[in-house]
Amino acid sequence: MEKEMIKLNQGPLLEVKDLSVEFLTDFGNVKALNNINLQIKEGEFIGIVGESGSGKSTLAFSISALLPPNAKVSGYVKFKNDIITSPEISGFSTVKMKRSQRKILTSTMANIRWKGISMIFQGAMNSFNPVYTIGKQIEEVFYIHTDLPKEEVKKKVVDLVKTAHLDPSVLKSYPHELSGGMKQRAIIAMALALSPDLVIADEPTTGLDVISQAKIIEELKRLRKEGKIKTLIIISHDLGVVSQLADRVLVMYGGNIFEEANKDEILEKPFNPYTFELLNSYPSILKTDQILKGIPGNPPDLTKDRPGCVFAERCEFAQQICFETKPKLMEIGERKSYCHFADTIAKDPIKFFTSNLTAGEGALDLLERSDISKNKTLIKLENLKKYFNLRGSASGELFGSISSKKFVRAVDDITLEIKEGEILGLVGESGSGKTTLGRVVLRTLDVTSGHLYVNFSKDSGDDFKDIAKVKEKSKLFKEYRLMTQMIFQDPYDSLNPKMLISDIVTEPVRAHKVTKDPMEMEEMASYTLSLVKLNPPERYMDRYPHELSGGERQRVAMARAFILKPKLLVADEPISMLDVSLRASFLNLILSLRKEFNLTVLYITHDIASAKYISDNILVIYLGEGIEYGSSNDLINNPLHPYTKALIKAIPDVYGMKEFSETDIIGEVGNAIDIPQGCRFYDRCPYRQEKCKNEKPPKRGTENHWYICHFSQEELENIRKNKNQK
Amino acid sequence: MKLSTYIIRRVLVLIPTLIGLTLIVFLLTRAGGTNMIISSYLNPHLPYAVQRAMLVKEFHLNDPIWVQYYYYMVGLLQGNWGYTHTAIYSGPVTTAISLFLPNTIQLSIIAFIIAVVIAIPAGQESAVRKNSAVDQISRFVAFVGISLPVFWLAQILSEVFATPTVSPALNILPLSGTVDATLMAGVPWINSIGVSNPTHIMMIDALIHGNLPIFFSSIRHVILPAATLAFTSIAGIMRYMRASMVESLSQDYVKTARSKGLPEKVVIKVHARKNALIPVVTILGLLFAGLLGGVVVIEDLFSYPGMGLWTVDAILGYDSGGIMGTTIVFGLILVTANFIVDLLYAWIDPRIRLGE
Ligand SMILES: Nc1ncnc2c1ncn2[C@@H]1O[C@H](COP(=O)(O)OP(=O)(O)OP(=O)(O)O)[C@@H](O)[C@H]1O
Ligand code: SF4
Ligand code: SF4
Ligand SMILES: [Mg+2]
Repeated sequence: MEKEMIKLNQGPLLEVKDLSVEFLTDFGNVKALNNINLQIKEGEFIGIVGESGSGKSTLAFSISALLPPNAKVSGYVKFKNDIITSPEISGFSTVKMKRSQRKILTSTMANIRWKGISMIFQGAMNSFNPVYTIGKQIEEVFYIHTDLPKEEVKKKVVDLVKTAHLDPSVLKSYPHELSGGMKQRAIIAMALALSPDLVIADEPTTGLDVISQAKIIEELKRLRKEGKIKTLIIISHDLGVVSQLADRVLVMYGGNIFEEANKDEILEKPFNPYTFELLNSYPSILKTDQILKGIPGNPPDLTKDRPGCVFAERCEFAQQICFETKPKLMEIGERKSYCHFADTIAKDPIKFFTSNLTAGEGALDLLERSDISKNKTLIKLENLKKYFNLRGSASGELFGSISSKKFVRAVDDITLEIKEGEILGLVGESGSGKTTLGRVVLRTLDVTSGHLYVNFSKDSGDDFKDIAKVKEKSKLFKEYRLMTQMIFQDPYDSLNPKMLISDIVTEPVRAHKVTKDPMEMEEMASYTLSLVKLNPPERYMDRYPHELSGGERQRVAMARAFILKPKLLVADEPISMLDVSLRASFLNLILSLRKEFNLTVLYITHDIASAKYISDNILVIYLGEGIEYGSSNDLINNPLHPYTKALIKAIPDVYGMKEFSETDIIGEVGNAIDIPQGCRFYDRCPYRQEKCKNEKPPKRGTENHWYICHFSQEELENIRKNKNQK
Repeated sequence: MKLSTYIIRRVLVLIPTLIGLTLIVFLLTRAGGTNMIISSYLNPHLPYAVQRAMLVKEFHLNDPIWVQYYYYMVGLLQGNWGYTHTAIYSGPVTTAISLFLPNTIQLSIIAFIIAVVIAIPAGQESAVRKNSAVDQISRFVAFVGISLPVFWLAQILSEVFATPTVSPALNILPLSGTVDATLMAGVPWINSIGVSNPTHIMMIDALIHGNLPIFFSSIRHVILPAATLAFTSIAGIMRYMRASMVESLSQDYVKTARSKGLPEKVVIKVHARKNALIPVVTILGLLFAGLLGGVVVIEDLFSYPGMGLWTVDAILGYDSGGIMGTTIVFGLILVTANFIVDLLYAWIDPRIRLGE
């Protein structure tokens, strides 16, 4: 009955009208949302993309009536016929609300919460309460909202987790006992418990590895087909994820909706400068020789009042008017764009974007790859191994390890050559041993066994010395230290907050006692800061890390690593904590340093698309073992190992939709402790045969593109065909 | 790991801890060598040299220290804990323990319960209503609690409630002791030195035997010292609970619980509180240790005949038997309290049981 009524009056399921939200904080008022207008019809899948701080989550909280008490609201959100967010009933006003008023509000909300709107929150890891079982937390929803008897609830919950492709045994588990992917499935099951009209998923896959992510996306698609999810708002910083699921996409920046259009329209022909520039920031594995530009500058400070467009400081198309007056959200047919020039763009987007474009950092020649194959070899790894003993608590140590000695084979038998001036991408899922390999190469970790040959020759000749077992105090080791540097994932953790930028950058100079002359040090710091494009350097030297944005901090880390002109740089996930628009320019920075100084880089990442963008060659590692190696184009266009095939298929590329399933890979994560006897990938390989279980697979293919497997490509193809026939 | 495995491991780890405890106590009291023979052991009817020789033999003082420790441990295990000669009791240490320990357990447990029952809900309330009047008041009380000296508070309380000359109207509580001595005369389940049976804890035994006058009398005697003792730890628990609860309320699972439409009461009690209690439980063990420290001062102030009062007397009288006995008992209580806390912890937090 109710459902039919909605269909009859055809009104939107959800309406957001002139919504603005400010957060009152000690550092001023954060204008998190400005004048948002939005309508969602039943059956739609809406995607919201935006960088960190763009207001996506705030919008989600407004829509689900969960704004915190320090929020000040204007405008409203209406769900079906009820106002659920408005100045009178949200945020700030709830603190001083009268008891009678609160009662009315509570009873309206009781019908909307979970029955009307359910949420899948950002940070799947913490959405379940750690002290209760999964089952109890899902059942709870039924006990609150329905009068069903206990047995019936239990049955329903079992059905629910089955719909989400989970084994009912997870119901007895505590959250910490499940993998990220399983937890996220359980959360989806919980969100669907009462068949809500609207599901809001805020970053549902953030924090999951690519393969679990692909499986969750597939899951959501399937649930839509089966009619279990009717209307979905999917929020992500990753346009790739959003584009896999959404029909219509909203692009947010600085608390405004910058563009709204159908997914394909936005991807092919953006009508807004921000969208245009954002699209130029995503590396894609489908585009060859794409130049990423990124967006210069820093994210906006939302506590500041500005008369003009929030994007003006960074927009390459900005004119005088952009700094003076705020644009309006212009309607162009079915689409909307927030820009003073929206009309002009809509008439001829290509003309507008090409004629006004300034040459950015991503100058074309960065991608011109000189042939590195003739370069001399800088580093050779031979059967390199690093094992860790499994250590537990003190008492565990006392009683546990006597019977069973277990260790993690973090790096197992890696053989590899890195040329001078090469960028080698090291790709693998979390726990595959990427970071360990990087640290073993730098010898900040001891080698368990194998050889690490380094070419110490000063000219074009060869002078290899094995430094795998060299003592830390030796001259050779010190020389090696001077040749190498590292940058880390987290630009917040890796810089000492109490040190000035100039002191941070010159740390290696002091550590290696290169000079003591303060003038010389300052000169070095200033020069290096300008190399990493922190210009003018004087503006940065006397500041502290907390005064800089994430992107700037990562550049400072780069300056520190580069000040002594190392030959080898190990960059461990250097961009994964940065906003999309800042990532591209950091990758470009690595490329330009390589070009200018012939820097050799070991680029460690879980993100194949970025590895493809900057690396010459890629090594894929799985549970500590290199399973495929090739030039980045070869490896991505023509993956040979079953794992690489799955990994590449799992990437949610902005420009492509794929089906991903159990036929690509089994299960969600590998286990580094109980490694199978034969092929390491056996447990998850969809092609596996009897002999894979106990026999070590050989190396196949060519010296330039090899993989480790019992089968040739034709044989694998046949296995696949046979399987499909069955 | 199963909970039972966890318990067994935890018990095994207790053994070295206990050995360490006895070793330290032993070394400290023997640090003075033969000087540990002090006057209170001497018997005027025998020549000094004879007595000295007897004692040297009894404690094996001429043997190497580890042999002495061996005999000491054998004695401990056989229940031979030596003798104490103090103003409040003179006789075997073990008898003194059976006399004083139950009183102290009664006092500290009641104080502990008072502290927890007041502090945890108060801390929770002030976290839920951050910066409200409730929060401000509890903050003030906590501040006062931390800054007030115990002996001053004890003095004020006993003058107000137990001194007829100062406040005749409010003079409703006894000033010292554990129970009205006149009530104890001729009661069959209390033995000659005042130990009650079967549990040794007067309050409980009185209930068991249905003797209400003794029960109420012992409650009236424990109120003042217990309240004073509780007051010293309320502030700490309350602030800790508040901080922990604020943290827990900001977690994602609390947001999830709210968006599920759970009533705010359930969100707080079921989802936020249990998590907030985890860190609080870990410090309860420490707080209990703090209480024991307080026992020594407070029993003395209220002349409450427990382990604390005995300890003070033993220390002041250089009574090595008493010092060793009380120290080991306090140590045992601490270790047991920590053990219980660990069990509680494992019970509340399923992640602990995993044991990496
Ligand atoms: N409770 C709060 N109190 C104060 N400021 C807040 C609060 N919640 C969010 N903000 C601020 O509001 C702005 C928008 O935040 P929001 O969380 O909506 O962004 P987001 O797009 O979801 O970002 P992310 O990708 O990092 O999740 C940010 O500047 C943020 O710091
Ligand atoms: S209004 Fe101006 S600054 Fe804003 S997006 Fe358009 S061109 Fe850029
Ligand atoms: S060897 Fe077997 S299990 Fe391993 S990747 Fe090849 S087919 Fe799969
Ligand atoms: Mg967010």
